[in-house]
Amino acid sequence: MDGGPYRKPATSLPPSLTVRCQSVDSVTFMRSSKEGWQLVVLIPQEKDFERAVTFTILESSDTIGQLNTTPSRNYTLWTTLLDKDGTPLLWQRGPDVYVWTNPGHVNYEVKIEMLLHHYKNGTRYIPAEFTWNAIDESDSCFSVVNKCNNDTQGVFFSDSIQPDGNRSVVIERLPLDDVCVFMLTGKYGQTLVKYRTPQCYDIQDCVPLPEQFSNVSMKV
Amino acid sequence: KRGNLKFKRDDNEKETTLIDLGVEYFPRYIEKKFCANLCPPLYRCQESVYNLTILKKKGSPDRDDEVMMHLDMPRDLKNHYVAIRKPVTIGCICTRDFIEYH
Repeated sequence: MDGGPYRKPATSLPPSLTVRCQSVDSVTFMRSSKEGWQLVVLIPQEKDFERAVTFTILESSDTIGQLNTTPSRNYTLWTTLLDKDGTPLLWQRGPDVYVWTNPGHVNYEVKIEMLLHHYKNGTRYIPAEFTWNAIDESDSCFSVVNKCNNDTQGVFFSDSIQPDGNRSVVIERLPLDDVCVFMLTGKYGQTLVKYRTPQCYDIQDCVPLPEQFSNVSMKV
Repeated sequence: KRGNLKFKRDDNEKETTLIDLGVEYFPRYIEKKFCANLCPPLYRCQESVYNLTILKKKGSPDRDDEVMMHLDMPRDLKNHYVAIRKPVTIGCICTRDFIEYH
């Protein structure tokens, strides 16, 4: 397993959990501190719960966990730290997870800053930083993807933004003088932003390429 | 003599579009080109297609995906995923068949 070696917890009480975001098929939660191995169990608030209990283990270096849910159900999270041999210590009841309803679509405001001062001499690309807003407190898990026309087909940037991260992402290599699309998916659906990257003569240290002619071949 | 003429016009290919298949697919995002059907008379526009192999979580909603039956999968993948085939358009060619009589 990843996450480094086991460290003995200083206390037998588990770090407390908070629900950070919920989607149609999952709930994402965060623990208050990184402390030892923590077992998290998701229990449906129904009588036939035995058949549907799911769990995950947060390892020493994890703060964020995710469990699959069914949108039409209410659940309760229970959690405990694990001793070195894997036995549970004290169990604590965590937050409830409620029936998920689609909150509808809201457009996000995406700000794009071309990092012109980070331009590397002689290259044909530029880094840029993308930042965006959150619609409400629980709108904190995002997925982003970016595609430029001059990239080879099959090449694009994609990443998921965890609830403990900033609402921003830096993309290192955007081709100059290109049309790109940035797609952001959050709790309130998908927002598409189409934008242009700067041309070479917009950048202080950029030297334009000489005009390219095709080779001329001659028959004698 | 029989053959066909093919050429490529840049304005015949529209911009590449990203498709979000959803969280239950890997890769989640794929790209498609769309053809603008800008071919001269007597030519027809032909799409070039490549079939991608995509993983889909078992138990996720059926969306008329074409499941690949004859594909060797490692067991750890087979327990949680099925492999599906996704055709993507990778280019547009103007083409014309001809037959020459001598």
